[in-house]
Amino acid sequence: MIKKANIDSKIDHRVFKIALIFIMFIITLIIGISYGSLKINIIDVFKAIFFESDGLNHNIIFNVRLPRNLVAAMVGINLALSGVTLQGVMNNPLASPGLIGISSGAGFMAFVIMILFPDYAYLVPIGAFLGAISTSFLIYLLAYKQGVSAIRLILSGVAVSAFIGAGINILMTFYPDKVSGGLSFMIGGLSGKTWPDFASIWPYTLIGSVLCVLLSNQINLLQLGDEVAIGLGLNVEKIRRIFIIFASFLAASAVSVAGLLGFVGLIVPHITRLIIGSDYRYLYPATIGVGAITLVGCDLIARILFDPVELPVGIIMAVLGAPFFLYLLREKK
Amino acid sequence: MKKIILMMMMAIALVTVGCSNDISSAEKNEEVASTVEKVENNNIVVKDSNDREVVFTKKPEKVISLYGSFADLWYEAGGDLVGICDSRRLPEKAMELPKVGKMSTPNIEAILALEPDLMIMRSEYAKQEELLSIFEQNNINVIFVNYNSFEEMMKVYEMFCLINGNENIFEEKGISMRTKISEITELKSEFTYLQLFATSKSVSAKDGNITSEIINDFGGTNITTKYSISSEESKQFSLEKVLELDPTFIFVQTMGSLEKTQERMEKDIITNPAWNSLTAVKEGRFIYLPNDLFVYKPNLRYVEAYEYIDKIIETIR
Repeated sequence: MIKKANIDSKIDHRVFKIALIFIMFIITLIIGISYGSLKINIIDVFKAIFFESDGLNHNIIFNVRLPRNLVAAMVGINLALSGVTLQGVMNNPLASPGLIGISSGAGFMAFVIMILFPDYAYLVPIGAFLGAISTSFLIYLLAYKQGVSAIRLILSGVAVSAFIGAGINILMTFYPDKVSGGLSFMIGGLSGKTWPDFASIWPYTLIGSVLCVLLSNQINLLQLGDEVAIGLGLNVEKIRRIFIIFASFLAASAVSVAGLLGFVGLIVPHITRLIIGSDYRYLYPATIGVGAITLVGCDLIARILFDPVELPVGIIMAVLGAPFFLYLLREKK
Repeated sequence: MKKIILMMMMAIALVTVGCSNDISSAEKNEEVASTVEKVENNNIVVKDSNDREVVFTKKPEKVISLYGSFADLWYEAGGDLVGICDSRRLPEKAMELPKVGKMSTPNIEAILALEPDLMIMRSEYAKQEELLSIFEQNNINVIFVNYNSFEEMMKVYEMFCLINGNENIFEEKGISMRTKISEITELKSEFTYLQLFATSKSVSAKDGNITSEIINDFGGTNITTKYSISSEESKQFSLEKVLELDPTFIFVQTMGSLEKTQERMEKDIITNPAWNSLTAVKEGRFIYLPNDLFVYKPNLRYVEAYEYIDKIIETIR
């Protein structure tokens, strides 16, 4: 009886934390939409969104800040979900979207297009998406030998990423005058993102978030190790494949919109884990919230720090997020 | 020696001032003259863009340029080359020359094999500046150059003409260019503009480069000017600030083909409500600039570049 009460209180505690995370997300989003180059008070912000259909305020709030903040939230959610999924299916804390070739594949395609076919620069998002997906499939195939073990997948990822990295370096060496476009993709950022970008990412976020919550029990079983999971009747190989495909699409959709934001997929899952534990039924929803808060918050700082010149959001995330993560790591028992 | 140098500088300054037509040109000429000096014993001493004094005891005969645009200006100064770095865009005359690597990865052995007596290299470019000691050890003269405005180009052009013993070419071509440009930019208009690089997907702003120097000569003010964007970079700029400042013109540059970029960007902008609300977009002042005049250095086509902008500014006069 006492034990059950303890479990219930633990569950409530985690639900409370998730609720708090989502309240923080709403607050961050409101702050994100309220602050920018043009100083507009909060009442006018709401008026601009809900009651105006023209004018400078409406244009800036509704057509620039609102979609940019929503895109930031979705990019954060997709990358964080991708990272936490990969860490789960591979049982490895260093797993991240970069590990399954998302970064190298997308980066390489972005460089190829920007440097060799600059006339087709508008194809960078779709090229990056295809590059990311095809590289992650290649890594999966190379790691496949009577099934895919996590360690073989990780090592294949390292090797293929190094190989593709050489390709990027070759392009940078031979076309130094044209690398700027590719470099800004590598650093990643949300400058100028508006409704068309939102339209291209939200379906992935919605489907991804729903699937994550629905499949959280399966990934919990994978945490017990392959042998135990198989013993419990789980088709480990199939589940792992589904999760990897799903993580690839999530990360590729984010990367194609915002460039390479490596930090989110690796650190946000760990921060969330330190806050809420490793039970994926709670970890997934919490990751959605923390991923969104991280990117919306960091993008706000990136926008206003040297306003109106913008910093790439990846820099802010690394500068603030890494020390915060190290602090959590040391504080947590 | 210093006195002689000073006297020569003053003499050159006076001669150049004498050739000019107006006060502003005269001031500019003085600047130009200060970088070029002649000393006794027929030696030529020049100061390159890195403020290094370089002495020429004779006219260089085997010259290599590690930058395509400089090669073009060197030819215009009556010079000749024995080698060049490989690049997509080279002057016609340089197409068949031996290639000595890329701009960022010059091949030292290929360069030394051509036994040059002068290297023309790009200043503020680490990959080339780090090679200085190697060339100095091999007794090869090096001049570092770079320019982002007409007057900076004129300084380099004058230096190139002087090294080649062709001061008359500079007097003939350079001075007439300066006169024409003063005439074209005589009528100033007050307007603001944004200089955008390549894409409507992000606001990549540029300033301090060839294009902005030309547009500013017509009275324009780049809305990003006070945020210190150097000529070599582009900075992500707040789209909402652009909407707030609503510049009169938006000038777009691209590394690729103008037509294809234009076609695609127009599609992007039409579907993007934020961009679409800008006055410059609504009133057709979203201008795509040809890269042969505005991305690459126009050199002796500067007058053409000024005339191109003049026609655009004409629409608001």
